[in-house]
Formats: sequence, C-alpha cells, structure tokens
Amino acid sequence: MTRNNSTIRKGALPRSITVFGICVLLASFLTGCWSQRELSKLAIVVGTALDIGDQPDTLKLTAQVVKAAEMGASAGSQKSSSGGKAYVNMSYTDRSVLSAVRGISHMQNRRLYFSHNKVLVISSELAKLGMGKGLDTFTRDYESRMNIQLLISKGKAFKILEEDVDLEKVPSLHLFGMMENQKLNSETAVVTLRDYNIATLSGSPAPVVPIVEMKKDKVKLYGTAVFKKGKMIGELDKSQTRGLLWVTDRTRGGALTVDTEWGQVALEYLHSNSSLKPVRTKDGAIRMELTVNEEGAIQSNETTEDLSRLENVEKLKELMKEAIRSDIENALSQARSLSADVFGFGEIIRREYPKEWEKMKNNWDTLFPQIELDIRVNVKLSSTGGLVRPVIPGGAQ
Amino acid sequence: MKSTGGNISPKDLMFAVFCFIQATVLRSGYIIAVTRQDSWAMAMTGFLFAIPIVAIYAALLRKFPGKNLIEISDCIFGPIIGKVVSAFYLFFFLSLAALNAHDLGSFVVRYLMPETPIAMVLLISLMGCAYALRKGIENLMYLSICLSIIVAGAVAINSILVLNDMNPGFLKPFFQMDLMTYIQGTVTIGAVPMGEIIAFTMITPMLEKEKKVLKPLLFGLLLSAFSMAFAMLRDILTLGPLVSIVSLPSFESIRYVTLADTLTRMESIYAVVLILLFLFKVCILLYAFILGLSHILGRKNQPLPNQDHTNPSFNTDQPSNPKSFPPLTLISTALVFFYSLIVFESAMENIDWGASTAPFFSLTYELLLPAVSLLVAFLRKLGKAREVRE
Amino acid sequence: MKRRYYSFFPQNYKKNLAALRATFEDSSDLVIREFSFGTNKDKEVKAALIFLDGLTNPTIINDSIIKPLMHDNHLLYEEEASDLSDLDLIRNRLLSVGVVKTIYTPNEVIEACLSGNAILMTDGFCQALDIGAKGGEKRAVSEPVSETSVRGPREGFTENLRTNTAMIRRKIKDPSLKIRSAVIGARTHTQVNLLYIDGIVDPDLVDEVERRLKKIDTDAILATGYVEQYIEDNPYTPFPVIWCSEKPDAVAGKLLEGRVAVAVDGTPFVMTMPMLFIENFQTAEDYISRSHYATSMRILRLIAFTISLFAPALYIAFTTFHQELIPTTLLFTTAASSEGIPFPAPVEMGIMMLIFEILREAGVRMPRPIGQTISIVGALVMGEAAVQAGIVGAPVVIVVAITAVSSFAIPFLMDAVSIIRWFLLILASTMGNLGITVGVFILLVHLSSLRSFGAHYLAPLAPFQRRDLKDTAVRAPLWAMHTRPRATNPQDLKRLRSNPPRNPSSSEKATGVRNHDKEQQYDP
Repeated sequence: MTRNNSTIRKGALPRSITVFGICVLLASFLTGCWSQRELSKLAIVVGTALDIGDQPDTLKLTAQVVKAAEMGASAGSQKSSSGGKAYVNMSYTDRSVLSAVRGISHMQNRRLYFSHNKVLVISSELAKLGMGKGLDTFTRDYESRMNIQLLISKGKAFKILEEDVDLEKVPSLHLFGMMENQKLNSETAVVTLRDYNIATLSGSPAPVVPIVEMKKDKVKLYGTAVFKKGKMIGELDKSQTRGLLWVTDRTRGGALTVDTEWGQVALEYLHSNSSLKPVRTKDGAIRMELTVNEEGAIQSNETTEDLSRLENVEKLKELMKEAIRSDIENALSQARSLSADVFGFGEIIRREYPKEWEKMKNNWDTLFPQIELDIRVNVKLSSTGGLVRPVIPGGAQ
Repeated sequence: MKSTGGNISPKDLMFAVFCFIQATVLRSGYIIAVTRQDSWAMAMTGFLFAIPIVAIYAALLRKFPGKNLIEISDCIFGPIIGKVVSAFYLFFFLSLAALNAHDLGSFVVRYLMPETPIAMVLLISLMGCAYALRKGIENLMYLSICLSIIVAGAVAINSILVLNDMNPGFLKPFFQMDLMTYIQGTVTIGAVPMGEIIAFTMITPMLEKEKKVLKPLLFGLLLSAFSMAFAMLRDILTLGPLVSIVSLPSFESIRYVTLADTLTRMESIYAVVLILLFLFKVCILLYAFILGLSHILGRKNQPLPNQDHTNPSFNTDQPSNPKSFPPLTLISTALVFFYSLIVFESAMENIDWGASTAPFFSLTYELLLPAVSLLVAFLRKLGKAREVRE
Repeated sequence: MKRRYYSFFPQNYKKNLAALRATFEDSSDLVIREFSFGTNKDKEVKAALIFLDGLTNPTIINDSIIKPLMHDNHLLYEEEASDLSDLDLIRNRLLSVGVVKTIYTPNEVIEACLSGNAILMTDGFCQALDIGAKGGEKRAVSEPVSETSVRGPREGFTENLRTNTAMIRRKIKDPSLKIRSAVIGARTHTQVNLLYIDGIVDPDLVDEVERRLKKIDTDAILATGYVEQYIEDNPYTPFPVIWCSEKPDAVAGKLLEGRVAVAVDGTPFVMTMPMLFIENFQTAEDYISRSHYATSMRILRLIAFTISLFAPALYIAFTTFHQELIPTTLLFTTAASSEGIPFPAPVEMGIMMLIFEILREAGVRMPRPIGQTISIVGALVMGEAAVQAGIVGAPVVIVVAITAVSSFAIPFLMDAVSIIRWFLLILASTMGNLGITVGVFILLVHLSSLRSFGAHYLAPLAPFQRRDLKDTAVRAPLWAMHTRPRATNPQDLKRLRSNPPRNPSSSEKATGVRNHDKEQQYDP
C-alpha cells in the first residue's frame, strides 16, 4: 500500500502534464482544421479537357464541374430542379495544368476538386505536340486517380465536354460510362491513365488512346491514336483497332457481320482469348506467334439458308477466321508503317528473352517492322442462338 | 533489476513481430525501386539473411535469461563501457522510433490530409502511443493477434478486389539483374524491416517462458516474409512497370479497386490498418527506448508495467496499473516528436536515405553490436554461471 | 443519532424495554406487545414481542408466536407446563416458526428488529429470541422490464433478496451453490449475498470479491449500482466491467461459467463478475435459440456496435476530409443536400446528436404515454422540419437516426458508446481518418488494459484464446461448447462429462448434453 502511494505521488506531476498536454491538443484541434473542406465549398470536377492555348506554349484547361444541387434534384431531397444544366465548364489558359487550375480557382468561390475526375480529353493537336506536360500532373497529384479514362478528341477537346447528353446529366459521366461500355464491344481500345502510363514505361513504348469526335452535338468513337515518345504519330481505324485488341488479348465480346454467298450473317463473339508468344527461330531471329481462340454464336441470319447444317457452319467459321485475320494483318501493317510497337512485342520479348532484348532494344525502331507475326485463329461456332432455322415464309414445313 | 516474469505468450510475441514488420510493407518502395519485378523474392532471401541476426539475439537472451538487451550489455561490458554500448542502442531505438513516426506522418500528410502540418499528425499519433505505453506494453502485445487478423483480413480483401487488374506477365523476366542488385535487395530487406526486431529484445524478459525466444521471433519473421512477398507480388502484378516509380506501391495498387462502382477507393481500409500498425510499431520502439533510458538513468526500482499473472491478481487499491515510467514516457515521446520533425527535410531525402544509407546504419546496431557482445561474452565466459543459477 | 450499545442485557426487563423505546424514539412503526402467559398463575411469565410494523408478517406474529404462547400451553407436557420461564423450552416446544435464534445483546435486538424479525423478550432473562417473521408488502415475481425473452423463462428478480437467491437456487439444484452473506452500509444495513458454485469458481476470485465487499465503507447501499461502483477495478472507464441482469436464468448461466454473483437486497438486479467485453453482446436468449440464429444475432449486434460508435465520426471524416472516398454518385447526392446548409458538417452533426441524446433522455424519464409523444415530436417534427428548413442536411439526420437505432440494439454498451461517440466525433472533425484511427487505437489499448476482477476484459481476443472463441461472434452449439471460458479461470473446465464432445446425431449412442446422465448409468 505504502509503495503504491509513493508511485501515485510520483505520478502526480506527470498527470498534470498530461492534462495540460491534452488541453493544448484540444485547443489546437479547435483552431486548426487544415485539410478540412466542406462539401459545399468544393467544385467537384468530373471531366477535364486539354487544348492548345491561343498564346504560344500555353494550354487551355477546361474543367467540367458538377452542380450538385441539380444532380441531387432527382433524389427529391431538395428544391426542385431549375431545369438548367447540371454542369458548368470552366476554362483557363496558362502555361501549365496546375497554373490553369489555379487560374480557375481565382475566378471561383470554390476549390476545384479533382478526386472524382472521370475523363481526361486531350485534343489531337496538343497530343501531336506532346502529352507529357498534362499527364505527369494527373499521375503525380494525390487527388486524381489513375483510373480516369483517357481520350483524344479529333477537334477541340473542350467541345467534347459540351456534348448534348440525353440519358445522363453530365457529359463527362456519359463519356465515362460509354467507355466502360466499350469494353464489351471490342471495337475500341479503352485506355485509362494507368494503362497509358504502364505502356509508356514498358520496354517498347507505343501507347494507344481512343479517339472521339463530335458529330451533331453527339460524341462518336472514331478510332485509336498511336503515340510514340509521348507524341501522337498516327491513327488506327476501326478494323485496325479490332486487330490491335485481338493481338493484345483485350477482346471481350462483340459482333461481326460477314457477307456470305447467301447474304449477311451476324456473328457474336462469346468467349475469346489470344496469346502472344515470341519464338526463337533456328537462325536466332525472333518471331512472334499469335494464337487466337474464339467462340461465337450466330446472332442474326438475314438469309434464307439453314445455317445449322454442318457444312454451312464450316463455311461461316472460315469467314470468321478470315475476318479476324484480316483485322490483325491490317493493324500490323499500319503499326509497321508507323514503326510503332502498339502490340507490345518488345515488352514480351523483354520478358521472355531478356538477353536478346538487350541487343535489340537500341534499334528497335528499325527492327520492329521486320518482326514476323504468325497468326493462328481457332474458331468455334457453338450455337445458333435461339433459332435453329431462320424465320422465312413457310420455313417450318 | 529483476524484471518481473511477465505473461506474454510466445504466440503474442510472434504476431507482434508480424505486425511490427507489416507496418514497413509500405516502405517496400525503397526495395522495389532497386530490384523491380523480382522484389518479392527479396522478402524470402531477406528472411534468410535475418536468421543469423535473430540467432545472435536468441543466443544473447539465452545466456542471460530474464534480462533485456541493455542489461545484457551492462553485464558483458561492465558498467562503464556497457553504458556506452547501451547509449548506442538507445540512439538506435530513438532513431527508429523517429523514422517510423516520420514515415507515418509523411504517409498521412501525402495521402490523407495534404494541407495538415506534419507536426500535428505526429503529435496526435504520438499522444496515442504515449497513452498506450502508460497503459502498459503487455496490453499492446495481447492485441497483436487481433491486429494480425485484422491486417490479414484487410490485405486479403484488398488483394481479392484487385485481382481483376492483375497481369501475370509483369513478373517476367525472372532474375535477370546483376547479382549485386539482389544482394543489395536482400541486405536492405534483412536489415531495414526485419533486423528492426532488435527492439523486441527489450520485451522478451516479459515472456511467459523466457527461454523460448528464437522460435516466436523466427516464425514471426517468416510470417512477415510471406506476407511481404505476397504484398509485393500483388503490387507488381497490378502496377507493372509503374511499381518502381510510384512512391508507395502498396497504396497505389489498392487505389485501382473498382467493383460495381460502390466498392471503390478501398485504400481507406488499408490506410486505417496501416496507421494502426505504425502506431503499434512506434509504441514498441518507444517502449524499448524508454526502458533502456530508465535503466541508464538508474531508475531501477521501477517495476515493469505488468502486474497480472495467470491466476488473477487483484488490486483494487489503485484504479489502474502503476504507470511504467511516467515522466520518462512523456519526455521520450516529446523527444521522438521533435526528432521525427527534423529527421528529413523532404521525401526525396527520405527515399535516398532508405535506399543507400539505411541498411548500413541499421546493420551496425542490429548485427555488429550484438555480434561483438556475444563474442565478448564468450571470451569472458559470462552468462553460463547465471544460467545454472537460474 | 448515536446508537447506544450494550454488551449484555441488563437483568431488568423493564429497563431493557425502556432502552429500546429510547432507541426507537419517534418511530411510530415500532410495536412492543407486552403480554403474559403460562399455565400456572403464580409463575406467569411477562413477555414482550417487539417488531416493526410493516416489516413483519402479521400472520406469523399472530398465529405462530402469540397464539401458541398464550393458548396452546396445554399441548405441553404437564411438568413443563408448570414452568414456562425457560426460553429454550419456549423455543423448542412452543414457537411454530422456522427461523428462531437466541440473541444476547440489545444491539442484536435492534438489528433483528430493523431487518424485519420479531423479538421475544421475557422477564428475568439475559437472552431474547430472534424470530424470523419477515414479511410485509413486496412486489410479486414478474416479467423483467429491461430484458424480455421470447423462448426463455419469463420470471425476473424482485426487490426481495431472499426471493432472488431462491430463484437462482431453484435453477441450480446443487449443494455446491454457496451463498455467503454480508451486511453493508452503516445506516442501511443492506443485506448483500455472494453466490458462487463451489468446485467451478476460482476460490481466489471468491475471496477477492468478499474482500472488496468487506472493504466498502459507506453508510448507504441502496441498489446494486452502489456496490458496483465500490468494487469495480477501473472506475474511470466508460465501459461496464461488472455485468448485471434481471433474469435468474442469465445469472445462473454466469454462475455455471465460474463467475461470482452478488445480490443486493432491494434491487431486482444481480451482478456477476468478472465481466468480459464480449458479454455486452451476449443475451440469455442466445443460448436458448438455435446456434445459427444466435450467431447471426451476435454478428448483428457487433455491427450495430460498430455503427453506433463510428457512424457520425465516419460521416464527418468522409464528407469534410476524404471526399475522394465517397462513391461519385453518392457524393453528388450528399453535396446536393449540403448546399445551403448554414453550419459546417461537424456542427450540424453535433447539434443533431445533442438533440437525439436529449430526446432519448426525455423519452426514458417521462411517463410512457408522454414518452411516445416526445419521440413522435422529436423524430417526425423536428427531423423533418429541420431538413425542410434547410438547417441540417438529410444525410446527417439519416446518420444520427441509424446511430440511434443501432445503439438500442446493444443496451449494455449504450451509455459507454454515447460518450465515446463524441470523443470520436471530435477526433474525426479535426483529424479525419487519422483521428478516427488513433481513436480506435486508444480504444483498443484501453479495452485491452481493462481488468475485471483479474480477468482480461477483452479476454478471448486479447490475450487471444482460440478455444474460447466459440462464444464470441459465433455461438457454437451447446454440445460443442464443452469448456467454460478460461478467462474466469474455472476450477472445473469441462462442462460435459463425455470427452471429446460429440454431435448428438453423430453416433447411435447420442451422447448429447441432456442424456449424459442416463448413459452414465448404463455404462459400467
């Protein structure tokens, strides 16, 4: 007991110190709320566009800010919507992305908040000059995330954010949803900032970014932009984009219309995967081997022919193979002519044959067009959909 | 000083080691920058490298049962040189505590609250630590298994959610760098997170079975090596080449999680777990420092803050445990606070230090000093007689 | 008032009575019934029956004490009947009352009187008889208010100590159920009983509880809560470290787990100790309902605990510090509702929480019909109107409502949680997620440092005890819970006699819990 008492007495001084410390801490709590930002003081950015500025060496940043009150109107919690647009586009031209952001903030009572940024649209003019400037900021900044969708616009980028949207309230959200949806179509290379960065950092950098254009106030997907050394150097059209997706194993599903001797038949991809492997030939050169496995089904048959007959199925399969092969070859020849390794051959060679890659990497630009690609396509046509025979007059007899 | 036999079970110690090292997974950025896609293997080789280090600690602790590192060096080197050696250890503990506090602070400031001054973050975190220390280190040790389960759960959830974004190709090519790179990686991992368990030599006298030290330490290390390798694998698989340029790979990799548009931004879970782990680690380091300091300052009569035994011991007289070292706790916490404020001017300096100097700095204290101690103990034939007497 | 103490009765009977009257001066409920009895007119015995009206049972007084003494003398043997002046004879042959004790000091007389006994004093003896005639008005056994059960027993403790211990005794028909008694309170003289099962409970624990009970130095013990505050380990913690219940079956269950129960006269609550944190989430009903359901209820309660503790803090942290962590669409809705709100979010939340606490308190203390009105006014009118007027945002009202409802799911922790919630709210509104995390860390360490009579409060979790997890978030089937929790350090760890435990359906012998006795008979 006595000893306990003595410890208590010893503890008396520090306890008062602790109490004092807690008071100081609480006092500092009251004064400093440094990182605190009220929701009503934020301008939530959901889309950003970068264009070339009107002065030399400047860029124009357009931020699409959501008007929360308009967005939430449907939730019924607040006053009814005034019927206006649910977003505002704010632009500022300055020498760098960050200074442009700051410029916008000078004009507004709210702080631009980029954490919920969904899309980044860059005009093709700017992309041709170089993308580095903008992308580093967006990658480095703690606020923005790397899973934003990257897009190249054929005209002015800020125009894309002024799209006339029907189902959504905000163009950026529409764009984002649209791109997410494209993953299923396998017609467009869907690229996030992270994909772009990984491609840039890989052994043979030639990232690709989808291109969009405005047509009658609606955004349309156009093709794919090819980059090299951070600059846009060319484009792939739709068929070439499909080929690119086949090679890089990014085909998920989609549809293909083939012209048969009887008429048009639409086929659907159900499951597909491809594998790309480098093979060393006897003379030491490296070839690439591509195997595409595809499983499809008949989606629509506009002919009168009974496609459930096996010889017809064989014919269809051949046509499908041909279509896939031509897409891939199309893409390959375009890549060769641009001398841009969009397929990531170099990266795959680096992974499998690192020693050889060491020798090749310095003159990869000249070596790449000479790399041979063996294409093997395996096609399965597993079902005819819901119908066995087409709907034709008297077809049931 | 008779350290009262504590009742921390070997299992508690093992998982405490796990939590302790798990806190440093965040720092894997240092090592991934060096060995890139092969870093996961470094966790395992690092473990192998740490085995002899742990063996030295175990040998020392076995020679002098019931004593902590500082007391042991007193026994080996005598009162004067012993004090000097102890001072070295103390400096090391202090530096480690400060470095880890700084890591915690800079992590919070960079990712959670960019506009908050780091001093504020450190202050509140260290207040938490000081509170925990005053409640007694053994209570913290009891929590280790619970904490480990939480950690494992969080890591598992995050890893499963990020599964979609993984690409096995990112692991290739295997082992194509210079041998020196791998040695550097091994030593860095072995020294910086793993060797830091030297702090546990201050706690081992509180074990239930004082002599069973090697096993829990080693198993704890092994567990952490596995989980570290796992975390690195996940980071490499998700981030690919990005892994070597982002500053906190483990955090970045989880930022990708998107599931049905609701389960996004899972890094918040990870951040919470990480902060908990860091607090745990700083507490242990701080405790090691405070215990050592009290020993050097000759406050020998202070009992260790454990007073409960396997059969319940009751003390109603006092509302709570006797506070371990009341004035020292606050002073040391303040010391760590100021030290961690000035330790690095910038994150760049921190990374540079972590990659180049840290292993050597750490190894001096983690390997060199204990090894010399053990050698001297052998030469002076110390310890054996004691063991018999025990 | 200073009570006079005599060591022995003075021989003088009149003086004794006078002294008693003086002690109970101005106590109109004191009855001193003087009468004389005996068959022999010469040897008529003068006697006085002393009791406090209202504390005693009139039937006993009339029919079992006065009547035999005055009328039933003829039932005695002749030789005895002639001289009735022997107290022992009266006790042994005449008084038809169960509890009779011979007492020797006036002090004992006073105490016996106050505890509701009747005292028989006869002229010429330095002894008196303390006759158990306790009675008076008491509440009948009824269904407990604070804990209702669906499938379990419906009886609840009453204010009468003996009824309460009897109810427990009725559950555990085992002579090793021990009931030690103590009287605490210099003025209230409250009977406190200490119950335990010998052979299960840790003897050190019993001694410790008794020691702490004896150390209580106060003049008044009016309810279990008084005793609780005097004997708990950590007076400064918001968490309850002593468990209490209104249900005999729940207390019996705790006793069988190796705990000690303390019953205090005058309260329909019985405490058990040591208490573990997880007991906050256990109810007696858990063991009655099927284990899957019980498990899901446990998990639900844990979730409710988490929500009621963290919901306001997390809401503040997310909306003012970490907006990036809110899913985009939800962010828009939240932002929309916070447009035009005049206060910053923490203040808004603080106001709503304060209003909720006031409403709760008002609802609890008010008579039931008014309580309902208050909740309607509070919930509907104030909440709805505040949102409509744009003073608080709808999400804040939702969060506070969820918090409130969740806290009702864990009645034991409601008090603790409602305090800690504020602490976390302050931390969250200054330091966001970091604040909450540090708060959680402090909370964990605090819980881990708590002890309840030597048991670790966070017991099966910290220190981790894998084999005791079967009664935490998961409630294993009874036949699988074959050991008592180790945290209470029971002497007899095993509950079942069969070893190892078997699933009742797994073998034909069906060695379940219920028929292990039968099996024992058959087994040679």
